[in-house]
Amino acid sequence: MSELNHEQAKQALLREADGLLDAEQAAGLQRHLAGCADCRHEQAELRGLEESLRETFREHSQSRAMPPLARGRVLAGGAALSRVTREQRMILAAAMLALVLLAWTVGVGVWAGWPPDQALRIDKTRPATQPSSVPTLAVMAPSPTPTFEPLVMDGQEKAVIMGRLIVATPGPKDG
Amino acid sequence: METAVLIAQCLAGDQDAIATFVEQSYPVVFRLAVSILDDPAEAGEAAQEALWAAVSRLGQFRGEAALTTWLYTLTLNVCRGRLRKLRARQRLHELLAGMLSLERSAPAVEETVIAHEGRRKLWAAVQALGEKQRLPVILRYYHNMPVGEIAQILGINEGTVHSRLNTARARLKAALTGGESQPGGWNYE
Ligand SMILES: [Zn+2]
Repeated sequence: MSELNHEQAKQALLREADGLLDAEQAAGLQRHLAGCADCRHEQAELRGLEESLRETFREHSQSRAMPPLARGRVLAGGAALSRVTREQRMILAAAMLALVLLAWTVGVGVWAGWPPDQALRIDKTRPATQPSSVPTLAVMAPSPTPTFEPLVMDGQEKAVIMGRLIVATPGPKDG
Repeated sequence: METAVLIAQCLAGDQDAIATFVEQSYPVVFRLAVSILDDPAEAGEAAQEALWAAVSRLGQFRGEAALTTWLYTLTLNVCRGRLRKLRARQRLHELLAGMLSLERSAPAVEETVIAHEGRRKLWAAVQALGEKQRLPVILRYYHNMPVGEIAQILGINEGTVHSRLNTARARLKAALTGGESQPGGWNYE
């Protein structure tokens, strides 16, 4: 039987790691390793990586607690129902996120008291008793250097933010 | 109880046997799901979805493969579907974040629960692998599966599993050794 060369031995090391060597091939690899420090180093590295992977996964597994089984739901074919409710929860969460972001950006803009020529137009001269005059949508960039250009066109308030046109539903026209 | 007997009882409509089957299988199925999806809540739902699929298809289980192999195959399919949805949601979030010029979101959960710095880095490198390489690595090293069983679950041959593992190991090694030094970090020798 011919002896393994260096390259064949490296391939054999990988096959050994995956349990794909038969007894004869394993013996051939051992003979090569006995005389080759380079391949022994390679083997040590490979085994180190494998052990590190196992440790990492063990730690991950231990850090992930299993939620209780909703047995009735599984038995009643409730998995489909669970999918729907999860989808609904995700949509709700996305909507909430959008609202929070919107409220935050508006809040920051108003609080900062931006000049009207930089902010999306919110007419502060209107009496506070006319809540309907407040635009239902206003988007402001929180950065001190606004990246949008406000426009008032066709009675609608619009702003271009990062190349996108944002349209605010306007309140009633001033008399 | 022996698996074949349990399955026969399930197929006969024995509710107690079905309950036993579901309870016994849940930890196994959950562990696979959480290794792929990372999020325990998502994995719990995926596991229950997979078990529901298993219960409703028990009649199709022919016993050629081990029961766990069959369950793993079902679970993997459920997880792949959920991964696609999760990625789509992530892309949407990134798009929104970009539009509103927000800071990047806080570090993902997995970056904060693994305490050891080197292992955290390795976990991140595993997550960065493509699905083709990531799944064989998880099945081989998270679940200690032989290459033959991985091939069966993924529906590819052993040689392909081996070559994907080789690619993955080379990439992980490069991710850990390449670039800057790692203070206090990993030495995998
Ligand atoms: Zn050698």
